[in-house]
Amino acid sequence: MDYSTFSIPQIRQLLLDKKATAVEITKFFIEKIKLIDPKIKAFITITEKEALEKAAEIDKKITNNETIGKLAGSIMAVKDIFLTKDIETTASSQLLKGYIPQYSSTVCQKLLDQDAIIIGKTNTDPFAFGGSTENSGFFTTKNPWNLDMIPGGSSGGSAAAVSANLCHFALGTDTGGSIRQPASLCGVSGLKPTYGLNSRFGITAMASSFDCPGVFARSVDDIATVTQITAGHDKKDATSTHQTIPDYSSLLDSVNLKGLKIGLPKEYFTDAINPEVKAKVLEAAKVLESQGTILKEVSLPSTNLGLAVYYILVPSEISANMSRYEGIRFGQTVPDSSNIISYYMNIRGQFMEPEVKRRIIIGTYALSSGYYDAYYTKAAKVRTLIKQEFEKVLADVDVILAPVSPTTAWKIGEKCSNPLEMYLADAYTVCINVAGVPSLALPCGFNSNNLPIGFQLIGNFFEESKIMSIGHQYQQITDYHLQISKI
Amino acid sequence: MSSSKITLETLDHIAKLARIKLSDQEKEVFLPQLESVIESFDILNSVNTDNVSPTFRVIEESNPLREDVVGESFTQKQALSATSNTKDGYFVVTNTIKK
Amino acid sequence: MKITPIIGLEVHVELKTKSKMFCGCKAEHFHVDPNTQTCPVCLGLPGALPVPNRTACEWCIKLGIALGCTPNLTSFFERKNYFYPDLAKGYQLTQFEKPFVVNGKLVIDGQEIRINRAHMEEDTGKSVHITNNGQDLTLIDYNRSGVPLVEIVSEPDITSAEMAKKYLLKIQQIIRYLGISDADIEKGSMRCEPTINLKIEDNGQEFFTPLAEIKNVASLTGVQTAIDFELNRQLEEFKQTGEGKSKTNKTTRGWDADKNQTFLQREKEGSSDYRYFPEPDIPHIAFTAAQIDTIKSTIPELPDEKIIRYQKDFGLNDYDANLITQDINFAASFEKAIGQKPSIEMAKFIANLFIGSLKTYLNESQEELDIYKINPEYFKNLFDSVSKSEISSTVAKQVIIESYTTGIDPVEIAKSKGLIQVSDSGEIEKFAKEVITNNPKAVEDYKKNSMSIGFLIGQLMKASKGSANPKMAKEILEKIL
Repeated sequence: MDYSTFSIPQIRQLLLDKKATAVEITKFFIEKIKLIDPKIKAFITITEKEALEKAAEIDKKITNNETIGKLAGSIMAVKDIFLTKDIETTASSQLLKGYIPQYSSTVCQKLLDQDAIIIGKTNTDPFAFGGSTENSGFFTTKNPWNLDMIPGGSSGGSAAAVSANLCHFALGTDTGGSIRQPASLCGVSGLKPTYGLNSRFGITAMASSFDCPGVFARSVDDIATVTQITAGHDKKDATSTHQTIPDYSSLLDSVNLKGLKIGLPKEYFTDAINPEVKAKVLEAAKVLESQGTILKEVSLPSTNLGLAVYYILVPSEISANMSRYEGIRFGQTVPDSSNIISYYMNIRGQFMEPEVKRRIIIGTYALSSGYYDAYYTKAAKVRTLIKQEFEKVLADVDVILAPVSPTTAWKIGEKCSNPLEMYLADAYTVCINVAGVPSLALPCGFNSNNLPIGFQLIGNFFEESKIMSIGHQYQQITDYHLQISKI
Repeated sequence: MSSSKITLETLDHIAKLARIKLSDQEKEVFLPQLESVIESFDILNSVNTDNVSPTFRVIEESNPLREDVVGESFTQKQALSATSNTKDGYFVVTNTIKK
Repeated sequence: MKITPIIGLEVHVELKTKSKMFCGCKAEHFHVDPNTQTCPVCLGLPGALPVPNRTACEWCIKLGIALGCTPNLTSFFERKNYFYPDLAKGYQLTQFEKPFVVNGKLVIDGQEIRINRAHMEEDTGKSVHITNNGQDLTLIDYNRSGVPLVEIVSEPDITSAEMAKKYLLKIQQIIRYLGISDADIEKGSMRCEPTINLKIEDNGQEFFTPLAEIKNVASLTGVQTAIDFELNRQLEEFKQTGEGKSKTNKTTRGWDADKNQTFLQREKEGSSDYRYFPEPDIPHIAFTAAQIDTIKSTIPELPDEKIIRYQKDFGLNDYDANLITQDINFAASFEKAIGQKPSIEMAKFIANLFIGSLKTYLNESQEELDIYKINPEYFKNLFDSVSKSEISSTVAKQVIIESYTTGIDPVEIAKSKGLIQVSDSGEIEKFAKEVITNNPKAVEDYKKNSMSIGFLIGQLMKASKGSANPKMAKEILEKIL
């Protein structure tokens, strides 16, 4: 039986009905990964042993008539920046090669507690710095729809794993588009929640005021199920929300599309966007219009400032967040140096990938004496303006609909020589992180080369339920999310 | 502020502040890249932010304080488990007071 | 030439909270095995996040208010970036723009010393430098990493080493009154870094010597000696080089307690570039005025207020009031002993017992005064007996210690030991006759010189085991002779 086509609740039901065991399901995925992953290289570590142990534990619970978790039997892939106790966690950087943590990230732990099975750790740009997985300290992941193409990033491994049906869902993080963009480029669904909805504890920090852990799956349905588990306050993360978490799954049909106002920001539909992508995204809007929603042009005038704000604030936070990587308490180390300064410079010079160095240097520069106000403070002020624009527009319309990536997946190596060009690819995603609002990326078709295209539904703070309901209803009348590449 | 051209000297200074050793080849690659990235920040100069307060965190909920309660700590073995640079229960580094 | 020292002090105080500043590890770290009180947060492991300790924040505010500071209702933490192996995260969480409390002052010898701020931060780990098989190594223990630290920054208003010492003692006393830290300089729970230079006025011209910050001063006398040394050194250096203070020539000097001298630790490269920015991992911290009032209400009467009250209400002199209020427990025990609304006479009498007797006893036995052993009734009984001349004040001083250690009424002790003062003239006459018979030589002396009666009185007191009323003894002896 092909267990990859079942939804999360269906898998659990299979176990309860004794139509399958968790071990059988796990073995099915391990075989599948062994067969397919060598082509796409989504995984850095395959946790066969741990997965089978966990599966056996779940099967034992069923035999003993004990209650099983809400995610029992579901196979999850985890971006390698989430710490997993006793499982190597590299963040796709040479710095952390061989690092076995003593604790798990809160999000992972919550999912494990609901009997999800970790099948492996997925590739990413190192510490999530990038948008293609090409910066990974180990290898580049390939797009399941075309192996010459990048899968997007930074959570490219997770997106590719879901896209190739190597798991039921996968964890990613979205700091400037790192869930939505690879989801779009790989033809799967992905949710970047409101900042603070999911705990950041135990995830290597990129930019603390931007990072949002979230989930990839084929359907919004499964995203809702997983988010229900992950969301909520964590006493180990002071920025995690105290809001009550609604029952997302039961609210999937709650939004009445009739009369719902959808804003199309004109700044997101300019000529800078690839015509095929633009056409498909507008088509998605039309689909929703056909269900009675009202489309309305809106304006987010500061959109063009988003990248500058993002690439000042994010590297600034990165520059401090990366200081702990110096090989003293964990991670790779170098033989004795002549003095402590050269020790630091050697280890960080030797094991940091170029993009890691680049961002630390940009951030250090922006924060350094004499530049702080011109860059950091200025960017933080413009951040206020961008946030206010979103709040204003979202007071007028219910949600915003926009493209995710201006293009479809590009060729591996195509943009490597020019980081600025690579950064420009984030133009339609970063503003959402600058503001902190939630956004759901959904597949909405293919270009003439059969590469997936996606769009995003942006809601107001903590309106995950609303955007998921709209997304779910969209997926009831379209089937782009069910398409699978022929690898 | 208009971005001044980044000199090799500035790059060296910043790299040292950040404690990252860069090879000459890396510097050659980085210098123009950094320049173009930092130049792209100039767009913000055109924005009037006179009466705007900065946003450092997008969500500011009530006090993030924790009660003063002792919780679990690592054992010494756990604390030292992720490195081989240990001695008698301590982490070891090259002497820090030596020049 | 007129020379004025300009001294500012940065005082760091480790709070004795149960847990660390940003994690649940135990905060008390003195004499604990290395790296046994750590977790992902204080080891700076990947993905670990700080969650601030409420008690520590409240104590910082409490201390600030006790130092006359004004609280900022909204404040936040910042990251101070620098690399050092004992700094696990590569940045220290501290407060720069918006500390919890600002603008206080202390008055030392009538001179006001302004306090710029008291802010909350975290301590670093500890480094131990060793040589192992010919290799110089540094060993790191992170038990201290993340222990809550309040930094009190004074303005450069201190003008002598002695005043610096008094300022420190005052801060230490207030901290101990608040019960928020041991503030023990020797143990490192209170640390002091003076920043010093000199103002030199000569022929109508003004010069300032370059600033020097002194580190590693680990004792109270060290602070005074180090400052004095540095003041002299700067003066000598100025005489030789004439170099004045500039924006870039501030130096950091270490204090060598063995050689009793400061030495150059590092020349500052301009000013260090710490790249402060607001800590994104911790939302801002807001207190309401009502919350601040609640914190304020937990501040006990402070020593300066007590001294004034003791002088006014109990007629104590400044010196005695200072002695009693040095330690909050001692002062509280005194206040318990005198009871409600004591007469000035009784309060003074009990103050004398505390200073002249109990304090000496406690110093010798190295004990803390146990307030639960103080029984106000006993003190009242003793005072009444002394007032009625039943017990001499000498005896009172003896028996109060025995009463304190045994819990028995001091008057009972005096009785059982036959130390009740004899004011019966018949009794005293008996003793007087005995003394006169036994000391013919002294009687001779007295007849030549009446001043020498003291010896005979002493003998009489001895014979009566101290119980005779000395005034009556003198009168009776004179009468017989």
